Amino acid sequence: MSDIRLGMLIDLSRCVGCNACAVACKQENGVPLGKFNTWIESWDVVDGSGRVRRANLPRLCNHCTDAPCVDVCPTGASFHAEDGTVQIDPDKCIGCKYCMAACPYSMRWCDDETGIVGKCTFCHTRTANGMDPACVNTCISSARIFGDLNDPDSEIAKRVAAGGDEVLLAELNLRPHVSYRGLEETQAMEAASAKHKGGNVYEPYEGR
Amino acid sequence: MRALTDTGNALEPDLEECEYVLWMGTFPGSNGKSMQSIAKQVAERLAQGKCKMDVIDPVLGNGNVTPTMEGINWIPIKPATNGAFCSAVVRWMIENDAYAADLLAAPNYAAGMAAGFASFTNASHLVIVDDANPNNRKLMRAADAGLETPPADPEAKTQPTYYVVIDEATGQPALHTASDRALLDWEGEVNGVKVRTGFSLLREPIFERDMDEYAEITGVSRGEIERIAREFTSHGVKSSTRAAGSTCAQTGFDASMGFRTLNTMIGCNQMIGGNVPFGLAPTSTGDGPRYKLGAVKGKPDVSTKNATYISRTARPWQKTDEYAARVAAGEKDPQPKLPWYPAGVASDNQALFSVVNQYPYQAKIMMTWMNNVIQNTPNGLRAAVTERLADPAVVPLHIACDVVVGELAQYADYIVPDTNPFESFGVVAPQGHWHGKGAGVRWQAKVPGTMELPDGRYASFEAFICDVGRACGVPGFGDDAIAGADGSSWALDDVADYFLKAVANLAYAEPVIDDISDEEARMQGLDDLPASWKAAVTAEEWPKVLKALSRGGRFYPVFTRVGKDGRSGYAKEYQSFVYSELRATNKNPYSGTFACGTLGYTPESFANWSPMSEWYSPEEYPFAAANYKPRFRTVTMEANSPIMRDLCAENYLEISLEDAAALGIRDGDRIRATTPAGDVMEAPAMVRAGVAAGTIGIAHGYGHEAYGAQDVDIDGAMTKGNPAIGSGFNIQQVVDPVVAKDGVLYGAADNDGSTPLRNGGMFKIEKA
Repeated sequence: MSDIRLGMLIDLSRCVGCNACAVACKQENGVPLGKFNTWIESWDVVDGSGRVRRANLPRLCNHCTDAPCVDVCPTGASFHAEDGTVQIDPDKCIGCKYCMAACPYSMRWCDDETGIVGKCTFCHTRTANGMDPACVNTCISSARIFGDLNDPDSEIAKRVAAGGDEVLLAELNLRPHVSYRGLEETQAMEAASAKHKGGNVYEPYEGR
Repeated sequence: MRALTDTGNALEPDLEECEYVLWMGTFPGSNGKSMQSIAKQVAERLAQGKCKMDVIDPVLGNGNVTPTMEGINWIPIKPATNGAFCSAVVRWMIENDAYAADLLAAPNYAAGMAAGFASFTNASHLVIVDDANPNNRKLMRAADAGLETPPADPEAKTQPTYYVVIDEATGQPALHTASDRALLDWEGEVNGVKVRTGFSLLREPIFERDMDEYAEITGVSRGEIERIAREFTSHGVKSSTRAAGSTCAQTGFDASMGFRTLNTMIGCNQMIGGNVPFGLAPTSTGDGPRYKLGAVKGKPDVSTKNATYISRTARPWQKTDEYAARVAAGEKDPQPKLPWYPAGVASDNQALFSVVNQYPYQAKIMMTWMNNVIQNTPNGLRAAVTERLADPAVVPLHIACDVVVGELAQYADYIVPDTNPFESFGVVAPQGHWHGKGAGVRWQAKVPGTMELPDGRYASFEAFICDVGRACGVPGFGDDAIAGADGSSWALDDVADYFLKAVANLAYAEPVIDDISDEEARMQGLDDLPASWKAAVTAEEWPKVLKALSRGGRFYPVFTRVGKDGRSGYAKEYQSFVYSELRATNKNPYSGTFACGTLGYTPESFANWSPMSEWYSPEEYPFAAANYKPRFRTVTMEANSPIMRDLCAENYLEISLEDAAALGIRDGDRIRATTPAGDVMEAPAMVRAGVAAGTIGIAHGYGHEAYGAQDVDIDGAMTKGNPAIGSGFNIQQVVDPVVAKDGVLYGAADNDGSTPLRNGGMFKIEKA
C-alpha cells in the first residue's frame, strides 16, 4: 500500500440535486442504461422551524476500508487498490453477485449483457492521471471535494477534520472513504415526500 | 414586456456582492440563465454568510434551499398571485417609510445620479387624469402643460420627449429635465388639466387591499410578508429581487411590474450589490469594426411602422388597418377576431394562433426553424390546432428546419435537416449572472452529421437560406451580400461566411486583440480548420479570429463591471416606470376598459378582463397550475436522451399534503386534473410538502406525441418511434371563452405581454 488514501467529501448544504454528476459519470464510464455508479436521492424535509426544504443526498460506492464486497469475492476480482480505493477486475469477475448482496449501501450493479459487476471506481483512469473523478469535475456547486485523505494539507483532509466526517451507516464501522457534511442534520429532519432517485420514485411517501 | 416597464440596460441581481435577494418564480440552483452558475454563486455567497435570500415559488425546486444551507428560505405562494405579494410589500414600504424617496423624487437621470443612485423613475411625473381630455391616462407632455421646450437639435435622429413635474423648490410645473427634485405624491391641476403623479397613482391599487387580504390571496402569511419587506429594505441598494417564470401567467404584467417596482422603490438599479447590467457585448453580428453585418444593401423598408407581425404584437388594435376600415364602414367599437398586444414582441405562441385562424392574414408560406411551438403552448385545443396546420388550404406551404421531427415539424411539407449546437456557430452575450462585458463564441466542434452537399457544404439552416436567398435575389445574400468596413464586398454561402466575420468584429473591438501564436494554433488544432473558414475573413484577421476561437470568445477584465461611488461600471441612462403609459392607454377592445398603469393585483381574467372566477366556479375548480422548468428535460427537448429518460421516466401531478389528505389521495395514486373545458391530465400523484396549497406542480417538457415517440413514414421508409420518448404529460390549460368561440381557436394569455397562460388557471382534481 502506498501512502495515498483517496476519498470524497460531499457538502450536502451545497448539493442542489441537478444530477450533472450522474450524467457525467454515465458518459465517462459508459455505465449501461438502468444502472448507476452514482445518483442523487432527493426528498422534501421539514426543518426545525417548520420550513420545507429539499434534501439531496449523492450516493456512490463508499470505498470502505473494511469492505464486505472484497471479503466475500471468491475470485479476488474485488480488491483494494494501492490508493485505498475498491476496484473490480472484470477479467476475474464470474458474476456470482456475492458482492452485490454484501454491499450494505447497494452500490453495485450487474451488466445484464456481460454478467460482470460494476460500480464507482472514483474514475480510476482519471485519478491515476492526477485528475478528479468526472462527478467532482462537473459538480456545478462544488459540493463534491476529492483528494488524498492522508495528506493533511489537502483540502479534503482539512474539510473532513472540520466536521466533514459523517458517514452513511456509521454503525457498521466499515471505515468508508466517502463522507458528508450535514448528513445527520438532514436525516434528522422529517421527510415530507417520496424519495426520488434522480426523478424516479425510489421510496414512496407513506404520509405522516 | 420590457416596453411596459423600463428603458435602459437589462438588469439582474448582483450575486457577487448582494446582501439580500428575493427570488420570485425563478428558483436559484433549479433554473435560470444559467442554472449552473447561479447555483454556484448562490451557494458560495450563502456559505460565506454574506447574504440572505428568500425564494417565493409555488413549487419547491431542487435548488439552493437545502436542509443545511443557512440564510435561504422557500416560501410557497399560490400561482399567478405575485402581483398581490409585491403590492403587499410596497404597501408595507410606504406605510413604514422604507423606500428611497430621494430617488423616487428625482425626475431625470442626472438628478438620480446626484442623489447617489444610477437610475431615475417616472414616479414624480404627472399623469393626466381627466376623462374629457384626449390625452387622458397619458403622461403629461410639455404642450399639455403649456410649457416651452428647448429648441430641437437639428442633428439628432429623435427628439427627446419632455414630461412635466411639480418642482419641489418652486412648487411650480416644470419640464422633467429642468427639475432637480420634484414632488412625489401630488395631485392637482396644471394648465387647467387634472393631473396626478405616478406615485400617487401607485398608491391607489396598493392601498385597495390590506395586508390580511394580500395574505389571503397569496397564501403567504402576513408575518412572512412583513419579514420579507423588512429584510428587503434593510440593505440599502445591496438588495434586489428577480422574477421570471411567474410572468408566464395571465397576471404576468403584475408579476413583472411587481418585481421591477420593488427594485425601483429601493433604488438598487445599476448599483453594485443590487440589480446590475448583464449581457453586455461588443458589436459582432451588427455593424462592427470590420464588417457591416447589420446593414443590408437594398433591404426593403419593412418595420413595425409599416408592417404587422403575424403575432399581432407591437401594435394596438386601434392602429390596425382593419380597425380603420371597419370604423370607416360604420362599425362602432369593432372587436378583433384575436387580441392585439402593443407591448408584446414577436411571439411564436401568438403566431401559431394567428396561423391557424388565418388572422390577421394568412401564412401562405410558413418557415419554422428550431421551433416546436405546439409543444411549448399549453395543450388545450391541440387536436383542432394541428388539424388546421395540416390543412393545405390553411397553410399552403410549411418548411421546417430542425434536428428532430418534433410536434410542429411533423406537419411540415418539407423538412430541412439542421445542425446541432456542436455543429453550428454562434456569438452570444454572457449570461448566468456574470456581469463582465464580452461575448462567447460557439463554433463547429465536429463535422456536421447532416448530409454533405455536392459542393462540400453540409445541410443546415444557414446553407438553406443562403441558397434560397441567392436563387431568389434577396438582398443580403449572394455574391455581394456582406460589406466590409473597408468597402470590400463578400459572398454569403454558408454559416462560416457570416459568423467568422462576426468573430472578426469581436476581435477588432477596442482594444484589438493579439494574433494567436503558431505554436498555440498548432497545440489547439486550429491550424487544421477548413479552408472555407480561412477564406471567410482576410489574412490579417485570421490569426485574431483564431485567438478569439481559442479562448471561447472575448471577455473584458471583470473589474470593469465596478464603477465609481457604488455604481455599475456599465451604468447608463436607465428609467424604470412606476407608471406604465403603454399599459394604461391600451384600451381593451372587448370591454372598452383600461387596465391600471401601475403595479396592482388583478385576479386572473380573460381577454375582456372578466375574471375567470365569473366564468367557472372556484369551488368546482379550486386548483391552479405551476408549470416549472424540469431538471431532466428542457422546455421541448431532451426527451430523446436515453440518459435523461433513465434519470426520470415521467412527470407527476404534484399536490400538497393538505390537499391530498382532503381528497383522500395517497402518494403514487393515479389522479386526474381537469380544466373547465374538459381537457385532462392524468398521472401519478406526488404528494409532498414542497408545493403550495391549492397548487398542482407540473414539470414541463414531458408528454411528447412526436419528437421520436412516433413512427415516421418518409416515402415508404418507416422509422419506428420509441414510446418512452413520449412518456409523461404536457400541461393542459384553460381556454379563453371570450375569444375561442365561433370556430376561433385561441388559448389564454397575458393581456399585455401576450405570453400564453402556463401558470395559474383553474382545475379540479380527482382519483383516476
